[in-house]
Amino acid sequence: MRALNRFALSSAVVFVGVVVASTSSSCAQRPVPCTVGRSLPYAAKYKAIATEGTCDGVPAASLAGDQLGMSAYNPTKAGGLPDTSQVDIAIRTLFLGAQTAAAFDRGVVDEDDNHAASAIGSFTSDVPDDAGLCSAPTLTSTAQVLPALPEDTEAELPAQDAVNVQETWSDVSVYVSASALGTQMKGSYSVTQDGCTATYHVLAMYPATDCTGEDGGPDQSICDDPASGISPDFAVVCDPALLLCVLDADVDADLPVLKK
Amino acid sequence: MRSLLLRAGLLAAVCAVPASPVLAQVLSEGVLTGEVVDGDTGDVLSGVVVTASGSRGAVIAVTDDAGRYRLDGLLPDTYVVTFAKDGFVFDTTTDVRVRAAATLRLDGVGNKAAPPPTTPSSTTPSTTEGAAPPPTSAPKAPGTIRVSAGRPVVDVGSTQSGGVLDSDVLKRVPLVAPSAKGGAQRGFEAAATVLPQVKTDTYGASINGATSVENQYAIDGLTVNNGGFGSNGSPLSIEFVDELGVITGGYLPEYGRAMGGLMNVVTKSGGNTFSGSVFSSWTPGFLEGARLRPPAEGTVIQTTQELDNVGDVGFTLGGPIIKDKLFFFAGADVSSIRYVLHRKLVATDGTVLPGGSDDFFASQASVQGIAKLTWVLNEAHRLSFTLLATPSQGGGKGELSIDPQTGEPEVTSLEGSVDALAHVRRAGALDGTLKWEATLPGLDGAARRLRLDTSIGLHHEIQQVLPSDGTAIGSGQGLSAVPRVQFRRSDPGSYSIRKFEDVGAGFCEDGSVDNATLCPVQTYQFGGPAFLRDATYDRLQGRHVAQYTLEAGGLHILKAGVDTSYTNYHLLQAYSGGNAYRDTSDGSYFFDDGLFGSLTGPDEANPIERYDVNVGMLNVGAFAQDTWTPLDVLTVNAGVRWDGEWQFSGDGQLALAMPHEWSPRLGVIVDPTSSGRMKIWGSFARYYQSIPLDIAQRSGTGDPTILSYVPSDVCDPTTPEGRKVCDDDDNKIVINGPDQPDQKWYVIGAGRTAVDPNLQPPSSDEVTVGAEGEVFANARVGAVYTRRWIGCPFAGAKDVAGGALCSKSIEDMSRDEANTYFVGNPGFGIATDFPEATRTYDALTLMFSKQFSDDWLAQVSYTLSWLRGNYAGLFRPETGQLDPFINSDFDLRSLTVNRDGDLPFDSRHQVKAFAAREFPAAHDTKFTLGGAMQASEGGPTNLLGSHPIYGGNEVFVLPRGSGQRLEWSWSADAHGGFTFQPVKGQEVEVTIDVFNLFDLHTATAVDETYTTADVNPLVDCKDKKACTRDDLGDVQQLDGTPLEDGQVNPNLGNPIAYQTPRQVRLGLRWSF
Repeated sequence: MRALNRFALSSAVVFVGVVVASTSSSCAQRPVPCTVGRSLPYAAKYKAIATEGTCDGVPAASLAGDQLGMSAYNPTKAGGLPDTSQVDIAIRTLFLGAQTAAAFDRGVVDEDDNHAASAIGSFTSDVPDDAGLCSAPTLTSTAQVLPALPEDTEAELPAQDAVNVQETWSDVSVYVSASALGTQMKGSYSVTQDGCTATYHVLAMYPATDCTGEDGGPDQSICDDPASGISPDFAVVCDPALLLCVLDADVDADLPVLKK
Repeated sequence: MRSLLLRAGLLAAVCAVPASPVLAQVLSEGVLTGEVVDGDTGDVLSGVVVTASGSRGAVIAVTDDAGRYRLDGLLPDTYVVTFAKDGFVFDTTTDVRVRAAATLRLDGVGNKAAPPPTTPSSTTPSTTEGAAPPPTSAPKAPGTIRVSAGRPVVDVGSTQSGGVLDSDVLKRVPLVAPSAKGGAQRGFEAAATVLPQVKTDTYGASINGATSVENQYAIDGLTVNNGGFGSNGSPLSIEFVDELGVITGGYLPEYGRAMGGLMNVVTKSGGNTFSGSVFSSWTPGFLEGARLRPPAEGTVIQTTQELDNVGDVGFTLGGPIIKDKLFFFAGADVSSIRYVLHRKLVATDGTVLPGGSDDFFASQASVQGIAKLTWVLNEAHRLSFTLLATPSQGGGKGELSIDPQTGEPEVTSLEGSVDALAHVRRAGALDGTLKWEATLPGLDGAARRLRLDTSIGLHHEIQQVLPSDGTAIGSGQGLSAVPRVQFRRSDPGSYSIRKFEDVGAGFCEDGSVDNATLCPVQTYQFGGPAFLRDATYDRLQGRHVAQYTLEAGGLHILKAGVDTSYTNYHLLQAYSGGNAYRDTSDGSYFFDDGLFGSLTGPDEANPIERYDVNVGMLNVGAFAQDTWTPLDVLTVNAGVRWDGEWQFSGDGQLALAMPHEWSPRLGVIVDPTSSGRMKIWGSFARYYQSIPLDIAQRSGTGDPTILSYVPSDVCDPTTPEGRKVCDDDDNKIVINGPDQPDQKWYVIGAGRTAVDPNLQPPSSDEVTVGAEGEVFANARVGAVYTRRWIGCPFAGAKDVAGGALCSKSIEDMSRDEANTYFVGNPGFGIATDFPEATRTYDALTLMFSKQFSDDWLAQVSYTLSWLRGNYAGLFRPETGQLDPFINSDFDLRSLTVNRDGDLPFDSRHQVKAFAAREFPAAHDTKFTLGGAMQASEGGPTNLLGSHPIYGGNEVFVLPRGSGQRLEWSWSADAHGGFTFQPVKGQEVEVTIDVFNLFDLHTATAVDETYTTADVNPLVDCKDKKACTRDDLGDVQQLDGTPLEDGQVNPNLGNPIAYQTPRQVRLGLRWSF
């Protein structure tokens, strides 16, 4: 009887022990994973840093901004499931992507296996740093070499000049928090077109939203519309040159750019 | 002894430190308490031996110096209670029905036994109707037994509201209609809907306005909720149930946590005499009333459904292995339910086509088994072990299955081939509980001061959806290797049935099969069974509770306890053939409608044939509470629970952390009679909710899916050769913009969803006030008002203490209109720009209840209630979506417009009644008549439109509840029985239950689609607080243009579902 009583009391101690051990678990939520906004483009504004070569009349030398597509990927692990401990990213510019797509529409592609229209890199970590940034210091370069295409009146496709463009992205970082999942980005962008190389600093936000007003000019109310898809925390302005909602800050500003 | 004291001290110290509803064996036992006084002097009597004798022996207590006694841990049973003290004579009270989770007060009065003469003795109060009259004969000698009829019926120890269905009710009242969820085996959950505050919803029984999956379900103290979705995982037959208790509110920390109610089953146990039964029931389909079903619009395929038959056969057996020491109980039941679905092809000109018409069956067979041992080691220690299994299987061999989650056939319209529509569904649980109760002396050496309850248990549950040929998921064999192709073309017209089936020569030849007018099909499923899943849920749970009885300024019942559980959810899911294909509305393309996979780089697809994920959850809880009775008339309940919950993703890392769930519970009970015959009470409580693991699997891990499009003129997914063309990357079209790294592939649900760092656990708050009293022997009347809410208790509370006064829900949300999502609290944290989740339930219930005695029982209740807010709970009644805490309610801010109003289960008036009476007849025979009726006001309906991103019925065109209310629904069920004794000690009973006696066909749902066009919700109507149906002419499409006449659904408000028709269940039972 006494042994049973002791055993009964001991069981209580065991349970309390389990509880105490359990409560040593984390009280904080798991960090948000590094990611980027996908399927829709970012609206990027550029700040020209330098040019090299003969750049007169070369479109790549006078870019005020662009639309950028980004995607995040995971390699696979055993069983074919995504290995979320590594996050790769890809960037594709509308500047090069539009020319590549126009050629594709006519069945023309760059056959060189070493050429790609998207730059690819990896985040240094699967979770953001203390500042909420996920960084990819280096990415592969893009390159597309395509022949000139005549106008196709039947398919209503315009003529396109020959394409010879290379791009390099570096020091790419995106801001990641629970309420802004990689939807602000900055980095350095270098583009070479027809012997001219231009380097820009880039500040971008997701998703790109056309803010062309009914009069053809900029309409700030479009950027402020909660239905725009833009995070209501972001400080945004309708850029009169790009006619896109962009972050309301200098291109070299630190991320994140939020409303005051 | 010293060692014991030290350990007790350690226990008390540790338990006083602050630690989910895991095991709640307190739910399976009751308490009998009271005071014993000298009837001559009024002085309290100490040292009186109080004995409660039930079918498993006796439990003894001795009154303390204050004359009080307390018998804890009484298994639900009918007891004979005696008092004994030298020199005194007492009444014996028979038929004291102790209910689980209830505290009854039975006082004793002793009279000095000096002969002759002496004052009559009685059990107080003995003045109630039916009580034994004072003796007029000569005084008795000590020890003489007299019987009092004054039995306690009021639970004076708690503020909890709810009701109990004991074996007296379960065997005499028509419960659990054959076609209800769990109807074949007569599962306990459906029985509960005869109680006030309980309503049927899609997945079970809704309590106090909450969805059924918010309830805590327990069998013999073991929590049996499904680990992934929260529904009842063990649909145990009421044949094995001794008592079903439903606690709707006002409960103490020891019972755990649930935003809904507690549904508590106490299984039958063996006693000192052998008893058992063999039983069978049969509900023949040919006795079913006619089923109404509105014709399907726009399709040649018409399906009607009828019950084929429902039946079961089983047995129970219980008795002693060692008298007074070791008892057993065992039982088994085999049941089956089968529907017949008549498929008929009817052309739009009314011609019935000769081909394609056939009868199909939807079936489910279940086996249930229970084995229980109860071992009374000695007066201080008791062990019990319960093992139960509830496996079921539906479908297979050309038959459709019945969905165990809803109890309905898996499809209601046979728009496709059987191979594509039918599945084998297996479900069921294996539960084991080992419980040990010890009653020990107190620190002062007094007997029965300290009580320790320790339990461990395992709930193992499966849910499988497999191909109808039984092949294994991902095996590459049979139907598991055949992809499904879904045809839904509507523009410019629908396909003809001739595209898929031979309907006979000369029929439906109105032109091309691609644009049918005579024989269109809205949708047609072709090929394999598509989505397949094999889910296993395991919950290992343990609990320890210490109770100490203390005299300090009155009687204190101190309780402290810890509980913990680990739940594992393993899910294997796949699409048959690795993919499912579907055509676009114009039929130009096929796209991947079910392709698990990810991208490893730009347009580098990584299809996953079998998606295998394992997630887990650790729950830890602790509580401390005191039931303090400073005065005879007053009891104060106060306590607090702490719960912590940690969920883990498929990668083993943390998915959600909920470490701070502090829930205070307070209650005050006044007994003006001071004798346990009446109580007036009030309570406040916060209830947190354990979060089912679906969120850890879907949001915490991800359901990685990819899709691409292929032109239908090059891809024919209905043949193996055609699928090779469909799956060739070179044939896929560009679907993304020129700036996207991925040109041909789109990704959905990849990776885990972000979580608000300041995420707060989901909870609801409650206040109750009520009164209850005994009106005559074994009968009580009561009234209780309940307010339970999610949200803030008053305006401005959100700004107080960081919103701590507000109860919150959890949802996944997108602040950028479906571009990115996070998990948070709507209205709080990083989601302050979303409306708060609100649900407020106000209910006043009036009830009369009489336990079975004098050959009859009855219960009548009326509930006046309001259920308002923007959040129905853990599933969406409008669509049936069951993704607890990640439903679509708050996904986008544009979806939250007009969502406030009367919620779907708002039924303003509800009357429920049941009664039964036995009529003894000659030759040891008897007749039993029982009945149950319900009448309730119909629920609200809505006017819904299409959302540009989320699709049909996701826009509330007008504020929630603006549609016409459904009609009042009435139902009456009847039970009749005839019992005779073929041999003394044995009984044979023949029964008949008639459900929906009058074969009423009230509409239970109407078409709420106002338009299938994408529209803006109506807001800001001129001079009005809210827009009404008078404003419908102002509804605009997204581009601001008004709706055209043809865009308003002509079927709006027409019935789409009706009451189940009359069904007749015949029963036969032999018992001994």
